[in-house]
Amino acid sequence: MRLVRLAAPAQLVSCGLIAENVPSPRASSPAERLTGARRMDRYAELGCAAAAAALAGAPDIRPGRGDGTWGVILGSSLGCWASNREYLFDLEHRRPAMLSPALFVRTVASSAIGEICIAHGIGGVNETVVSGWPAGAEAVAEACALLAERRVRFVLAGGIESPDEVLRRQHRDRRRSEDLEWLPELLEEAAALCLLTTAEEENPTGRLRIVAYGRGHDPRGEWSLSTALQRLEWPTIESVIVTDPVPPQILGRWQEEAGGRRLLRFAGGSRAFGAAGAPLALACAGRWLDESSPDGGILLVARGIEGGIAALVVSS
Amino acid sequence: MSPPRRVVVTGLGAISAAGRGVEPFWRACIEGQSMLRPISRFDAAGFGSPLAGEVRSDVEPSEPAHGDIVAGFARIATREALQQAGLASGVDGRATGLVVGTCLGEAERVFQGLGSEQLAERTEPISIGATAGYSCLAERLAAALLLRGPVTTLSSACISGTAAVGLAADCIRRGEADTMLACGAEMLSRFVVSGFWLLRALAAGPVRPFDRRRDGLALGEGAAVLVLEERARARARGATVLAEVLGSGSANDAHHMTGPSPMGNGLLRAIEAALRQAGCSPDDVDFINAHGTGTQYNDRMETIAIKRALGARAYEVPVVSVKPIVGHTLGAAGALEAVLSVKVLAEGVVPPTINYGEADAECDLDYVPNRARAQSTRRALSCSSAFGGTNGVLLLGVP
Repeated sequence: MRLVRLAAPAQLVSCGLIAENVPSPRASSPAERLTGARRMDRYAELGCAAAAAALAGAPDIRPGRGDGTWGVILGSSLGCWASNREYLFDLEHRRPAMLSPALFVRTVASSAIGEICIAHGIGGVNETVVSGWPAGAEAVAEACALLAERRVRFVLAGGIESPDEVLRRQHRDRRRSEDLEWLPELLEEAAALCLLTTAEEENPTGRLRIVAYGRGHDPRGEWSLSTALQRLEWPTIESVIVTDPVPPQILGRWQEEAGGRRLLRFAGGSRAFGAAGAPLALACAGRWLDESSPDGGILLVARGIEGGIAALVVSS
Repeated sequence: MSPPRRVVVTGLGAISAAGRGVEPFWRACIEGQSMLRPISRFDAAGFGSPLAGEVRSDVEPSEPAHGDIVAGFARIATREALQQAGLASGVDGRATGLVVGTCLGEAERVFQGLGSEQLAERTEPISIGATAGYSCLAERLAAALLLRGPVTTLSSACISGTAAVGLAADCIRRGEADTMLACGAEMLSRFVVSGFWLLRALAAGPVRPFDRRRDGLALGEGAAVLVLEERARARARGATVLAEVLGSGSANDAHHMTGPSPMGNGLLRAIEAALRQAGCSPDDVDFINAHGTGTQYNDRMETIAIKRALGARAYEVPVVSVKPIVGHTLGAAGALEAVLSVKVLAEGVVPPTINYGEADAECDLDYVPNRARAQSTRRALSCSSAFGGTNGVLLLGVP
């Protein structure tokens, strides 16, 4: 994976966080935010709630109707899994005439982006990344690259994960049966969307900047944290945040390679948020930066169990 | 300051209803030979027994043990593309990545055991990071080719293949990789056939894009792969350069989940974005591969968007749909039609829109009805539109 320095840093304006028990006072629980809109499934509804919360955090910035200067880039490992399963169940058990076309439309992974764009009039760049748990970090990275290239002015970027009970149970079963106890026990639903813009945009609330990114593939766990850190000349990286899943042997090696820098696991313990994990960590990164020196920065690394890897370099 | 990195196409691969390989696909397109047939893989009688562009069983992948049919499609197309690029013996994994565009990926395999929660419990353990089946395809291809660069999967409905090519090109421009494989892949299944039948989107007879009598689309399946390389690097190793990826764009209608914007607003913005990235003007475009599904709404919208984007030039540019030939291959379509556009640039022939017989006053462009046409083409635009109001566009040029 090559870390690419952005020609112009991206600025984090606000975040919409929908998740239980996240270490940020800005996070709402799904119960507080979801409206139960009939035409949406929970996946799209989580995304819409996070988008609305992110926009509420920046009341002076609004897209116009069909605004091509605004974009949405989402990452999810599961996408609209629950709707897919529900549709397939109906397909197996009902006569064709009894199937629901509205449900079929919800089986498209980009349905969440469609709903967000319709709700807020966003008419620019659209991308739905479904590359496993790093997909949320990849979505943020892609948004930053597009901002730096001036192909868009504002982007809502982040991750949505909406596991149903079947998937939660499979996660627990696999963890137990395949001796993967280093994985968090609980796979939680969550959505985290970050409103990003270019660093030149006036924004009194923007403090965090993303200055570099990378994405790659590392199925054998060979990616070297020390090599990545050596290549980053600025800012000084004082902390490394990793989001699950990272096996203990890789975590141990990274700890050594961190060379005295703090290496933190986000949302460790018993819960994981899939592709929403890295954007949630980004939203909470200000807390870690406060504890760093003013010139300090953070390397945020998201790794997928199959070897996908994405990184963001964040500074204040 | 170093000059901007330019992205070229050095290899093409495809599998479609026309057979294994780019050449059968291209030949069917320029000969205007429809490959749509009744579906044989499953019983589609409950869904109106539609015609579809099914990959024939004698050319289906023979090694489905590791993954399902769609993974086999992707492997076949990848092998052909790497062969043409002169990279069959291996790629520099550290500098090479992969973007797959697909609607469902290998989800069909995952779904097979998931009719109910009871069935779900009997399924084989599924990778946690790839539980929904979207990313298995890319992960396995990347592992087989030992790729260490960006490996990602996009699922943006019917623009997925177009988006994959656009993102892969951007990865090279930005310096994330020197070589990228861009793949679109999809398979026919009861899942998608039933869904489009429910939406009353399937044609009762021949698929007739832009014709007054058009009444819907036919689905298809297959895969296409483009090998993209940084131009200087491709030249340095003596690769044959087939085309250049000049720009890409995506945009949303912000209008309706299934109905396109009546004025083609999203597609217009996507075309403008692709032209802007390429530094081209509407007058530079001399071929358009249309999404051209054959539905009333899409074809009218697309015609309006093209006219708004290109102005008077729109009437001088051939606008073609090959979906009556191989069907609408959903997540594969954008990549397959990017392959077609590269062939148009390279061969100097524009394929026809077949089954065209009656003009529609609202679709009044040059759709190259029924017979291929010899024409030198320097820049080709390839358009895709999708559920959720998403639109994607590629601009390709002669090298």
